[in-house]
Formats: sequence, structure tokens, C-alpha cells
Amino acid sequence: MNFLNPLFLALLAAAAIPLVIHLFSRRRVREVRFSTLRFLALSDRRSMRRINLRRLILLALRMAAIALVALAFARPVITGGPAALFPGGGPRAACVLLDRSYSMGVGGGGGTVFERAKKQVERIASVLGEEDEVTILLFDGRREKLYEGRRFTPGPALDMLGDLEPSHYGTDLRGAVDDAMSILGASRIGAKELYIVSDFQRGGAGGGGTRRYDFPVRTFLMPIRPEPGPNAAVSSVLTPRAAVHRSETARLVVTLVNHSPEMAAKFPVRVALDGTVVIEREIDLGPGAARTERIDIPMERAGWIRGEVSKSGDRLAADDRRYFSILVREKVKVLLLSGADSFWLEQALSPEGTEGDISLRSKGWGELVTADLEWADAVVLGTGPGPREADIGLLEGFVTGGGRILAFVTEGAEERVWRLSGKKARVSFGKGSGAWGSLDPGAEAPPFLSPFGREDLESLSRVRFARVPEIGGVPPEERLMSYRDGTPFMWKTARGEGLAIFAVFDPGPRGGDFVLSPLFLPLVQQAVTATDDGAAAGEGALVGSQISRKGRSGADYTVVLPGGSQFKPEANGTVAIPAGDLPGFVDLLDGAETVFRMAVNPDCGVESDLSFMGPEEAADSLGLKNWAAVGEGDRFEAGIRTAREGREISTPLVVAALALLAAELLIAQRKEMATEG
Amino acid sequence: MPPEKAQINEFLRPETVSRLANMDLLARLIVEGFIAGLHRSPYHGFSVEFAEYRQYDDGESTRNIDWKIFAKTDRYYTRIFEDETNLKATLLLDRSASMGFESGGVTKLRYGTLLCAALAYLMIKQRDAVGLAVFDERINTMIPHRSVRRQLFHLMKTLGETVPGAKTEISGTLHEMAERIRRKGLIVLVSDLFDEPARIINGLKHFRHRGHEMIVFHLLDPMELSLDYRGEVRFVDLETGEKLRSRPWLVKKEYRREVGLWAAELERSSKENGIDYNLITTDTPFDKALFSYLSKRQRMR
Repeated sequence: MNFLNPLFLALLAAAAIPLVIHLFSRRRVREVRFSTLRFLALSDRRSMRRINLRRLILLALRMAAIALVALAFARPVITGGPAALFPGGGPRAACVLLDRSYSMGVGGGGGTVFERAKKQVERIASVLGEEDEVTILLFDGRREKLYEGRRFTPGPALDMLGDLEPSHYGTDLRGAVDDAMSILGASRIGAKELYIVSDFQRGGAGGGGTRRYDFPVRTFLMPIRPEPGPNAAVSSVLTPRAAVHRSETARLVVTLVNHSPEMAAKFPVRVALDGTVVIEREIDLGPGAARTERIDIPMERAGWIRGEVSKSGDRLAADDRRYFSILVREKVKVLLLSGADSFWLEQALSPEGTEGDISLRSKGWGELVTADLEWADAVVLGTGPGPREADIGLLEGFVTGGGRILAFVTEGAEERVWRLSGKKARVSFGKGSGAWGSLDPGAEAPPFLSPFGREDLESLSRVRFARVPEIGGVPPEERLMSYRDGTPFMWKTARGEGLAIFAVFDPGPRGGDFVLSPLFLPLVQQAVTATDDGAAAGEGALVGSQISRKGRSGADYTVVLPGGSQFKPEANGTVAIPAGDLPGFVDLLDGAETVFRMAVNPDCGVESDLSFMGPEEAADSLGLKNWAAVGEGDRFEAGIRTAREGREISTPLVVAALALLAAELLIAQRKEMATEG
Repeated sequence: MPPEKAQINEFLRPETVSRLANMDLLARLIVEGFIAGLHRSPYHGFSVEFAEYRQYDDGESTRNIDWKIFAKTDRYYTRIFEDETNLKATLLLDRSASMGFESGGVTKLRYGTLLCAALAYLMIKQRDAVGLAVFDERINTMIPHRSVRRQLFHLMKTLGETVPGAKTEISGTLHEMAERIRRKGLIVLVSDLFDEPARIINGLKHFRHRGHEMIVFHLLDPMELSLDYRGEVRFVDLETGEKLRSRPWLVKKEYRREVGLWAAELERSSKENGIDYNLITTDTPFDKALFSYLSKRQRMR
């Protein structure tokens, strides 16, 4: 006979309770002086011999009943010939759940927890029969069928186990049990078994109510526990929200946690940028303590930076390193030439002041010098009388030399539009109807307007513009946006190496609603920086997640995942970027240029503390009823084999205990046994 | 029940009379109460020994009119019965330690002394000669037979001073007394008879062999018959000091059976040997015992 819950055998001691009560119960005895003990002694001797025998029987019945209940709790399983007396046997539907979440990667003297878990699965396989219908499910946050077969052949299943490593995902134990129950529920075999090999991370059970499964499943909970040891983690790394520019300092906010309630932790924390350690700092954490470090790192190059914060390894390596990415920008130098109404454009170009991406120099129409154009990356021509004749020539030279010009088309600016557009675009004020105009949101936004969403464009189309001029000479492919009547509103004209963008509205107070709308500022900035990408700083993602970014039509996107695998995403307005299964960096390339970089980290927020559930808690939270906890002990296979081949006799034992209690009740209720006094 | 009768009957109740100290008075109260009860009972035929009078009723036979009374009082009184006596009665009272047991306020010894006193009073009143022997394992006191009124005083004094003694050795004592009481008469034994029935009967047969008539009042406490104790009890033997812890509610069935067999054996053996056997419990009114005595007396005439 073996026991599925041998711990409950300790309850057998309770069988002694009736005996202890019998031995230690103290009755109040009074003394009576009696005439003679002659008859009493005789009667006492005769009666008590019989009554004591009955009492002994009662005591034995009570003790036996309690012992049987205790045995029933221990869930005895009998094998061999007597097992045939009880129903059971035949093929079984078995589902083995193997936890491969990152917490299973905890190391120790006997290898990682996952290595030990794989051995447990091998042992389970050794006791599963050929006639059994077996499914082996790997699970972390996901589920993956490692093996499925109507007749169990352990060879292929075990071969697949060999190369498995823990993933970088967290645990979804509840989801795994749900899937396993679905598989078992779909099986036609009546005897169903579920084996769960896991460290039973508390965070893996998830929240929500307890599920109930409406068919009997015998469940074996097989906890694999790491040896105790230090466990500290880089819990999070926050990058600056504002744009970071070259030669500036970026502040990282790094949170470190010592999850061990007993051990203090002391370790160096390193910050590396593009693989080079730039800062190393010693951290001292008391037991259970958390600490937030603010680390300033100089950004010496522009572009997407790969960063990582790491600490020395402990038994759980997955949470010792966190990746981050930062987009370091070069500042765009913008020269604003405008009249008295330059305020609105200054606000639009540099709303964040020196923090922003634009370094602004503002000059009046007659103040332009050649040094200004040598300094500037872009020139904005605002309202007012316009540049001097000589300045138009300088500006043309600036554009054709690779510069970028944003020119607002206002009355009196007709000449400069004509000149800067290469004498193509002709603008005429006063000859049109003078009616109010509004913009056409278009079926599909042109790439230049891609930072704006559909709602933005709809909002833009509701703005009414006064005095729409007549505009000619603008080819359709150069139009960025038009009025509803087809008149170009914004268009671009390539001149040599540079680009001129024309916008037909007044950026001064007379511009009305549009200048005051929240669309004005980004539209102006977009025009001078001329980028289709609105990314400001590196975003982070968890392993297995996915984020979406606005895409540019016509772009040649490639996603490079951690580990090096690549694929071409669909870019239909947005680009879906999966984070992949490994921590590291996901790059979004447009051709050869990196247009976005995303750091990918495991979800260490839940399981990093290595807090485990006991079998009772796990069974309770997962809604498992008929379960047994099986340790890693030597009798593991024998226990399972016994449980599978043998017959559990808990129910017959409970019935027997009830029968004994009924017999005890009958005997005890006899009048002469009733207690008096 | 009329108030006066209830009052008289009260003196036949052991728990009532036992509270009084004067043995002579007690005996008189018991007997007078008993007699008054008898006059109102249908058992007149047993009252042959009494000189008793009542007013003559018209139409009644004149044969029993006491003319002497008529001469003194000028009224007709009917003399119910009057008889001469020549009976020698010996009261044997067991005062062994077991007789000191009581469960309801009256020890068996107290009941026995009261019964003996009442019987003695009754006998002296009938001018019978009465003797008394008090014994435990041996004869402690023995008062020879007398029929004079003064004898009553000696008897009452002795009975009043009787206290429980040592353990019982009744059979030997009976044999000894049977040897000492030579003249035939009535032997009245008051005892709890805690001895082997065969030995007791053997002792009683010795009296019968000497030609005595015997009446035995087997005196027991009700609790000795029922063992109706609650809770666990440690019993201490009054005679031997031996102790026994027992659960009466568990053993009383067997106990009652044993005691019943023992009493039945005594009764059967007594009958076989022409001995009047009366089992009396200490909660029994005295008239039952007195009535038994009168019944026996009646048969001896």
C-alpha cells in the first residue's frame, strides 16, 4: 500500500485521542459508606467484565474510525491482487504540463530548476503506458504542444526535451491548466490525469475566481523548488521622456530590488551604451530592500543607442539585466525670417525652448546675412513684406545647396514662391472668389502628414480658411494637402539637393483658427525637420508582446528581432512590431536606416521575487480537486506507478469509518452503556 | 383522609418518629397509631388480644356488652375482645456495623430499635413476657423475659442506648441464643441478615428445633435493594472498611439480581422451615411489621 498524501498519515496520531480521553478523563468520585460490598463486589466483577469488554470494543471502534478517516486523507492506494476488488485500470488520458518560464532558470547545485523539471518529466514518461493518450505541453506565458499521441511512445517526446531551455516569459499557470483541461475534457478516455511540473510561482496562478472543472481529473502537483540563495534584480530602467540630443546628458532611473528577505545584497551595477560600460556603481541593499538610482550618462553620438543596465549574476539571471534604447537627436538649426508677427512661428518651431529638437535663430526681413545661412539647416519664411531681392538669391542658393525652406504663402509673397519653386508655382491673390476654403482630409494621408492620425486630419478639414488664392504650376505629386476645391494648400518642390515647402496660410494672428489649433505646431515642425518619424525616445516592450507604430507608405521596412532573425512587416498605415521571444533589441529598418529601436525585456515584475505556492494553495487557486503532491524523492516513480496502477481506497475507507461510527453509536446508545453523573 | 388519622399515621412513618428521642413515647405513639388504624380497618379479626371498647349500637348482640363499664358509667359499651396471655417473646436485634447504614435519614438500626420498641410495647400491653437480645458478632445485651410494665422501661432504655457495633456473625449468635432461650416462645429477629443464607437458616432452624415460633424481619435500606446511585462512587464497606470504586448505573442490574436471589433464597428457606419471613425496608411504615407480628400471634393462639 502506498499513499498519495503521505503527510496526512500524521493524522493517525489522532486515533489515540479516544484512548487519551479515556485514560485522562477525571470523573468526580464520591465516597459512600455502604452496608456490605458482598453483592456489589460480585456484581461489579461480573458486570464490568462484560461492560469493559463492550467499552473496549467501543474504544477500538472509535479509534479505528478515526484511523480510517486519517488513512482516507492520506489517500492510500493498493496494488496487486486486492486492487482488482476496486474499480479502475485501463488506458488513461494524461497531460503533462512542463513549466519553462524564466523563473525555472534558477540555478543551484543540482543544475537549474528546469533541468530538474525535465528529469521529472522523463520519470513521468517512464510510468506512462503505451496505451495511454499523452499530451506534453510546454508552458510559460504561452502554451506549446511538445508531444501529442494517442499511443504513447516516449522516445520522440524525450528527444524533444533534451535541448529545451527556460524561456524569457513569465508563467501563466492558470491558462496552462485551462488548456490541459480542455485537452483532457476532449478525450474519450474516462480516466484522466494531469501532471504539473513547475516551481508554482505565486504570480503564475493569476487572479480572478477559481475555475471548476466538471469532470474528474487526478492531478499530480510536482513542485520543483530552487535551493535558497541571494536574489536581487534590476527591476526597471526608465529613460528620459524628453528628447535627448547629442552632447547632452540622459538621466536613467534604475530601480533595484533585493528579493531575499534574509540576505543582504552588495553588487556593482553597470551601465553600458552600445556594448561599452560607461558607468559602474556599487550598490548595497539590505534584505528585502528596494532602491532607486538616478544615473546620468553623456550621449556622445546621435542616433539609436543600445543600452543595458546589469548587475552581477545571482541564482536568477533573467532579472539581472535590463535593456533600454534611447534616440539621440541632432538639433535642427532653424533660421526664422519674419516680420512683426514672428511670435506664432517662434512658438511653433521651438515650443520647448532649448529642450526641443530645434535650435532657433529669429531675424527680421532685412537682417539676413550669409553667415546665418551657413549656420542653418532650415529656413522658415514667415509673414510680412518678404526678403530683399538679394536675399532671394541667397535663399535659392541655400535650397539648391541642400537646405530646406518652409515658406508661408501670404499676400505679397507671390514673387518669392515663384522664385523658390524654380519659377513653377504661381500664386495670385485677389483674383479668386474670395470664398472661405477648407481642407480635403483625403482618403489617405500623404507621407508628409503621417504623424497625424485620421482624426487630426478630419479636425484639420473643419478649419475654415479665408481668401484662398489661385495657385498654378504645382504638379499633383508635389501636393501635400489641398483645399476641397483642389487648390494646393501645401506642396513641396525639390530644388537641387534641397527642398522647399510651401504652405498657403498666414501663420500670424490673421491665420485665425488654424494657427491656434494644436495641429499648427507639429505641422510646422514636421515641415522643417522633414522627417516622417515621430519617435522621440526608445520604447520598451516585454518579451512576447507587440507594439504598433505609424508607418510610412512606400517605406522598405525590415524588423530585426533579438537573436538576429528578420522579417518584412506589413506597413498599412501602421507597422506591427513583435518583441520576439528573447530579450534584447528590436530594430525597425527603413532600407538600411534604423528608424526605430525597441528594448525588449522579460516581465520580471511578477515572478522575480521567487515566491512559490504550496501544493494546497496551488490546487485551491487553480480549482483542482483530486490532487496529490509528489516530491522529487526516490519513491517518485513508485508513487506515480502505484497511483496509476493501484486503486485509491479513500472512499471505501470513509464508508468503513462511517459504518464503524454507526456501530459505535448503536452500542453506545444501549441503556446500560449510557453515562450517568 | 381525616386530619386526626393523618396525624396518627404520621407516627407510623419511620422518618417522622425517628426524629423523636423518647423511646417509650415513640413506641406508644407507634402502637397507638397502629391500633387506631386497625379500628378503622377491616382487620378487626386480628385484634383478639386487645381489651377494646366502643359504644353499643342498637340491634347489636348484647353478648359482648361490658357490664362493669355500664355499672361505672351508666352507658353501654361493647367489649370487642379481651384475651389472657402466656406468650414468651424474645426480640433479637442485630446491631452489627452494617445496620448503621442509611440512605434516607433512618439507619436500619434506628428502624430496628423502633420496631423492637413498638413490638415490646404491644406485647407488654397484651401482658406477654418480653425479652431482648442485642447482638453483633456476639450477644451484647440480653434482658430476660418479663411481662410487667416495668420491663418496658428496661427494654426502652436498652434499645435507646443501642448503637452500631462490630461486624455480623449472625449464625453463631443464633445458635448461642437458641441454646440460652430454653422455654418455647416467639422469637422475633430483626436483622439485615448479611450472612450466608444457609448459615442463617441453620441458626434459625436451631430455634425451630427448640420449639420456638419464629418471625424474621429482614431489614434493608431501599438503596441496598436498588443501588440507585448517580455518578461514579467509591463504596466503603461499613464492617470491613474495604473499598470498591464502581459505576452503579452499570452494575445495578446485576446487583439487583444478586440481592433478589439472596432474599428469595432466604424467604424460600424460611418458608420451608416454618419461619415467617418479612422483608422490610426502612421507608416502610411500622404498621406492616406490627401487622405481620399480629398475624403470627393470631396463628399461635
